[in-house]
Amino acid sequence: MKKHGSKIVRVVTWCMGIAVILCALYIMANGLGLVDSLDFGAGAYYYADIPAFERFDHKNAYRSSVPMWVCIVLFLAWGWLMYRLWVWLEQRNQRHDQQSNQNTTGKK
Amino acid sequence: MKGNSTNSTTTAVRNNSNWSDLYKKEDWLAVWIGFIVIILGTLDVLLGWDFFAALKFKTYALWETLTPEQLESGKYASLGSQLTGAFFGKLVLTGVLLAVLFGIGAKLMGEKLGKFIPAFLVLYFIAIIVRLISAEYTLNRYLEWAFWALFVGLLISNTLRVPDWLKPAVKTEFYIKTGLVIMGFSVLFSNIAKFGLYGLGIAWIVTPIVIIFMWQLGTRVLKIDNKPLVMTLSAATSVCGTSAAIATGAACKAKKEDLSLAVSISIIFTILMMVFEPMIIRACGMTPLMGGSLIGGTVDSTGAVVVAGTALGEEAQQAAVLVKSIQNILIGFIAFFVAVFFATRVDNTEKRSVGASEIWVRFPKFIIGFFVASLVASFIVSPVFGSDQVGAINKVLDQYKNWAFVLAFTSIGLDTHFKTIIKQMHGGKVLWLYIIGQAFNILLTLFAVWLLLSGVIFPIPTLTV
Repeated sequence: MKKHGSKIVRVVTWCMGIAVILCALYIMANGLGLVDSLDFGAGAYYYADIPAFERFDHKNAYRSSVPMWVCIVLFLAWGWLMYRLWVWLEQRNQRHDQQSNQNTTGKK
Repeated sequence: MKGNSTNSTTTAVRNNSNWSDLYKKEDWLAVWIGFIVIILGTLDVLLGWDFFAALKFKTYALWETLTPEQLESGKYASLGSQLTGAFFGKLVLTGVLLAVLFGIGAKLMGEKLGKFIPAFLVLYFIAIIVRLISAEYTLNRYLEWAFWALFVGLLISNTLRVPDWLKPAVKTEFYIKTGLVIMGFSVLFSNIAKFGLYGLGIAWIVTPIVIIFMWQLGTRVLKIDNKPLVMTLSAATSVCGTSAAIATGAACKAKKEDLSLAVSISIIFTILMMVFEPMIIRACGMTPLMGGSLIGGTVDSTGAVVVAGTALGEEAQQAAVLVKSIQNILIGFIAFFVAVFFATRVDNTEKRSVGASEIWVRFPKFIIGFFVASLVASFIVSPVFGSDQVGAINKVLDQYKNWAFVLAFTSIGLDTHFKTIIKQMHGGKVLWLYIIGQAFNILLTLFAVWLLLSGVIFPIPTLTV
């Protein structure tokens, strides 16, 4: 039963992979999703790769009443909190693995 | 006994770090080379030398018909008309500069110059072919250099055998780290406050949650044992695709195949998302502000974000760019935390407490170069000379960054076999990791966008377009 299930998953995965590639090829072949006035597309991975990026990046598009230092403090605080969460989860995972290994060794 | 073992390991680690690392180790050499390029690029713009910019092909059409407006814009030129004396001058200048800088670096790392330089020049020639291919009208819009560098490299290594004399120049990590230090100058910290708390909420609250979710999914649920691959793909999905994958992959010391797989998956799905996401957003009747912010937070490459945002109108384009600008600055921080996490949690196989000195030894030093470059650009060059000058400098530096990455991705292709990449798919689990992770990313960003921009709880911000 398990073997049968894994075979289905493998077939679905292959179908998904092929469908995604065919879809991407179709999009490229037909020039879908592009904007005539823009001379770039998904190929410009990073903002500096986009010719004259400053024309899209208006300096005062949004006027915030929140000072920059508040944004920086919140940015660093959230980053630190999430890092601690990640470390805590990983430590818990490792403890769980150790216990599982001990249980397996004990049974043997 | 265990204590003795720990002490001896710590001592060994400490002994491995000394002052000569500064001019012998790849990480530091990448930092110095990156800084040299940044200094030269900065002087080139500020002093008006106007000669340092590296070679770049103009977009040309092979089978497409360009409109008269496109032809008149000056952004396009037939391939033949580009091959002028100035073009070959740039080609030689770029090649010589890269050969000298990387040659000195290779020599300091113990490579013989007599072997490195000829091999590097051949690699540079292959990189020229890659950039030529990726300047083609359609290919340029959808795939560009990273994909084609991998493709050409893989084609050579899997059909012809890569000769031994070429191998001294195949230094993937060295090129990547140097490119990343140069890229650091374009990461402007001031972008963090561009969209106030709205932008921070959409771009920064979501990103680390998605990374942690994908990490748990990949390592615990799907049980992918290749942790650097899980990490690289998670960063590519949640931050900004190829650039984030390159930085994070280097920070967690991912294998070449891991990076190529993460980048390929991200690129292919970006093409799909660029087309379908605006369609779905429009069908759902979402406001342009919410739609643009969702695109900015979820579509991987910046180019695709601008195009998809533009498809929804000017306000959506602006919102998309604002959110993506914040995500672009996350690259360095994510890479930093990933490097610390891997040094203390993943690579620390003995699971003992790791002191600051040991973290320092294991820490990838090029990230320091990346941060210093970013801080100098954000807090020294930008306030003193203005953001327009920083933009002009980055225009010069961007081409060197791209050349370094093209050399890196070509090297990856030359050093990889198709079989290894297929093996790295872990029976398709990696594909599902991306799909489920990206779906979670979209849902969480949608929730953040609704919470902040729908007007239900917070006032709707006004964007000037």
